[in-house]
Amino acid sequence: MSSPELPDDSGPRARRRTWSVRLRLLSQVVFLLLFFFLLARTELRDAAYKSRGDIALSWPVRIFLEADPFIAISNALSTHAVYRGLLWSLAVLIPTFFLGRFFCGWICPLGTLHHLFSGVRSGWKSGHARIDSNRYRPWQTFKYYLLIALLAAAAFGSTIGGILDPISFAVRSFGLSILPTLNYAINSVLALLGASPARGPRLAGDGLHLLFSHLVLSFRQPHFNQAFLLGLLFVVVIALNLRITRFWCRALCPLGALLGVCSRWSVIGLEKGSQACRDCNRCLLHCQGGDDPIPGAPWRKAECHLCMNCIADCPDGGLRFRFFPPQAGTVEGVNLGRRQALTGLAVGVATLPLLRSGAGQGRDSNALLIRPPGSLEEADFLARCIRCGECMKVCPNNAVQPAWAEAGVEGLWSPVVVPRIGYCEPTCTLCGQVCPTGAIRTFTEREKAWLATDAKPIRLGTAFYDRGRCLPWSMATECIVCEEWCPTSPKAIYLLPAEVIDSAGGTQHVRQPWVDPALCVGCGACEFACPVHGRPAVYVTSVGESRSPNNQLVLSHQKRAGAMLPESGEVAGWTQTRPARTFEAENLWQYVDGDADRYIRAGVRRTLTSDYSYPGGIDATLDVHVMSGPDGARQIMESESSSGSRGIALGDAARLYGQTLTFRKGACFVRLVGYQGGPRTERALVELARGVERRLR
Amino acid sequence: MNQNLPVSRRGMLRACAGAAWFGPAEGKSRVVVARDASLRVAGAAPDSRRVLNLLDRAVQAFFDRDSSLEAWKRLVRPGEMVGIKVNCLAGRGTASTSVQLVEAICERLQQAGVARKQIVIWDRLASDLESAGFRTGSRFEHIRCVGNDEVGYEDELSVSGSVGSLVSRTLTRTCDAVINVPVLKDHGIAGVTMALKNLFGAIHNPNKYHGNVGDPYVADVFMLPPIRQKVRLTICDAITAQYDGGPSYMPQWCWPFNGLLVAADPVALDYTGWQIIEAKRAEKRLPSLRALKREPVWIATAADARHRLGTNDPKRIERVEV
Repeated sequence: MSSPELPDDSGPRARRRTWSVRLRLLSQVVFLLLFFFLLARTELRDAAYKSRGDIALSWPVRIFLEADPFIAISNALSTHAVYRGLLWSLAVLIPTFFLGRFFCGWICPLGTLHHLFSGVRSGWKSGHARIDSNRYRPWQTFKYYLLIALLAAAAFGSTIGGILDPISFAVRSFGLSILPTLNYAINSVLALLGASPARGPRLAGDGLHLLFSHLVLSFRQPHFNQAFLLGLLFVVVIALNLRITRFWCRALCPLGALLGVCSRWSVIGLEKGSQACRDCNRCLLHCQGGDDPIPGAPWRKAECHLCMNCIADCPDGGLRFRFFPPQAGTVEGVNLGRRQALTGLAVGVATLPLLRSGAGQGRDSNALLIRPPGSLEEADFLARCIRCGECMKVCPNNAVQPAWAEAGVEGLWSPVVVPRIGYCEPTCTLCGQVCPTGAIRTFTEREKAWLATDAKPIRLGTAFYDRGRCLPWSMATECIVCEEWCPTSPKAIYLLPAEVIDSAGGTQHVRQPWVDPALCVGCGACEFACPVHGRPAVYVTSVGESRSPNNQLVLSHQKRAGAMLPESGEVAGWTQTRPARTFEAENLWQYVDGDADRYIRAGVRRTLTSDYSYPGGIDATLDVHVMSGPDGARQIMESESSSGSRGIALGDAARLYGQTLTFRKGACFVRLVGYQGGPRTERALVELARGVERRLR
Repeated sequence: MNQNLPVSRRGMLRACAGAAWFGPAEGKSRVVVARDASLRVAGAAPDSRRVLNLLDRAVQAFFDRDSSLEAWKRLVRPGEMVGIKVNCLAGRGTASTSVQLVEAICERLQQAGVARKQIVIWDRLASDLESAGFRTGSRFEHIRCVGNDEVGYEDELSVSGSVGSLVSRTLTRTCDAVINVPVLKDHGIAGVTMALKNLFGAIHNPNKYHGNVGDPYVADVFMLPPIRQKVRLTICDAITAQYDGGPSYMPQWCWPFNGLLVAADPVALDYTGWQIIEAKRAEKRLPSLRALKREPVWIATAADARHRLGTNDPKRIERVEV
């Protein structure tokens, strides 16, 4: 090994930029800009409505993550399946077998940033220290041991390695910390300009706002938990470049390690013309990979980023990349110590049980672990989630946040919904669209089914009331905000009138909110909107989430609204001719304007209606009014004249008026109206009513 | 008047002239009660030809003309867009305006020079129209049947007394004249629902105006300029009337009145219809609407000095039975 000599940067021997360096620079700039462009477009403002009515992002914002071979292999190991989007990674992996780590030097956006900051002059990298720092060091093999450990963990079902994946790291850092910071800073400056009394600064502010709003500004200021920590981590990683060029890429990057392993068979390599070498060591000045391009030392193929700086820096033209170079003087593969490799494997294997030994993986999971809609069951979720933060970046309500302790150590920075910060928008499907690994599966608004009753909805959890803090429950103060915000149809939050005693001893009439757990989807709108500052009076926990078969309330006696109406053929002869429609107290007037008030006064919560037909030209309409209690059903029944009716044995009480049959059972009041008279209609209506009664049991 | 409403000066004058012509006269308000005991030959559904005859008799009696054509020509002019405001709230069943009656009105409008494409049958919801049978089959071919939910409401609020509402664009932008075709029936809150109350279907927020037995809201809604100016005649469908349980269809409280009520004075018509319902309730030994605290006091409000929509004074109502 030759001793480091300090090269002279002046005169004709100064660095030349060859065409290959220019091409590499161009590639880096293009891919870095593309990365930032797609990241900035990972938000609602760039979404468009498709013909089906679902919103969809206009750009393939997850393409960098999909093309990441480390994520692909990790997911393949952890799920025993190849997620179809990750087939894109072959576009990177296959060329690596022929070209080496071109991705690291030419494409990787994080690598480009490291490259950029490695060029910053610093006291730690001047003179001999700079040359010395770019020599190959044994600690560069650490990333291979790390890779072994992370792949071993993946094989046992955890993609925690995603935390260290460079693309995931860049998306998470920029999406959750750097861009929000930039957004805040730009807006602050623009606000200052806008507040200026002079016209010039104001106009400049308007122009800059127009420009930035198209480039980087988000349509709303995002806020993320741990943004400072994520930003600090990013700064530290970047700052390490001031001491050692591309320290991350050389020592930590698991993707770099994977590509390094694959580059063993690459057919392109460095040819050193040692005859012409004057031992000037210029080839080490800008070396990115620490792969020892200098003559006299073996060139380490697995470390080289193909940055081409060495051949540009060589004043004698003694270095060149060529296909099928002579193998002498080249270290083809990765030299790992067997003991260290086994240690890495053992660490990976042991890490997972250690991470999962926490209480969070036990019977009772964290109540605040509310995953975004479409999330897989927790074990499958952790087997796929790479903590890239795409779902958090794209969430229009800022509801999805990086987890800290909610999902245990293994779930660090995985997505959780924090309703107090933002609620899950009923019509939004973006988190499922941007997830590169399927940890959050793609779903449609119809599948989400928060605004419709004909499908089983995706539930995130269930809302609960803290009656000690709720205004109508504890302070004799009227408040219906949570009920107003509840987006489901029918509403999961309903109000019941109550008499309460105020602090002066007087009687106040208020409406107190209740949650119907069979209808609540856990979107968190109630918690978000609750006007009780600090700890809200209504809050969502994960119990009832549809992704988990175990984390459920006992709801076997609860039925969804449509389940009260018999289906075609269920009652002999009767066919349902119209889909069930549901009306709540608020919109019941759209079904029975005028008459609605009578039901509302009696405490109706919702009304279901459908039409039926019976052979022989008999048609009927069935209405089921679900009241807040049996008293409401009784009140409605007693408000109607019994003149001309006869009682029949059905439900708690029933009347048959010929063409009309009414009965009540529990909190339900049921009316069947036939459109043709006659004893045959009477008999058929009674049969249909019995079918409804069976449904109400 | 709302400047955004697409009403031409000529249209405005015509509407005012129509309102003045058919509006409450200084003398008596005529209410024709036409009945035909044999309206239903087969028992249930009314016969279309007999409904047409009944309509002719009623309209001729109202306009005091020997031929129905002459009578209808006094009501509409060729080229006018004529809206037929039906009441389909109760959906299928006899508590909604009958298809046969509207069919008969359309036929006579055409004979009076109004082309089929110049006729619009409208109500609050398209689904209600469909349930009541106005959008099925070919009987209303080339005649538009639209719900307010399809066409929408004006963007600017119309205000009248205690009412502030958005008015249906079908009424404001499409129709030059409106024939009001409600159903004679009981109303669980407002007491009864006929001519005045039927125009709740022309505003976007009828649910807000059912308090206090609908008083003074029913009168105030009818006072909204597009309504008051364009409604020329009310032909109340009393083929099957309902004396209790309204406005929803309750077959157990329906009876075959087999008649029509025709008037240009909506207050007089409502008063007359109310008395018919009260009489039927008494016959069925049901308490009066007053006893049930749902006496339609808004009828008197509509006749008061502030509204002057017509008369509720029996001495000034000329009830003509045909």
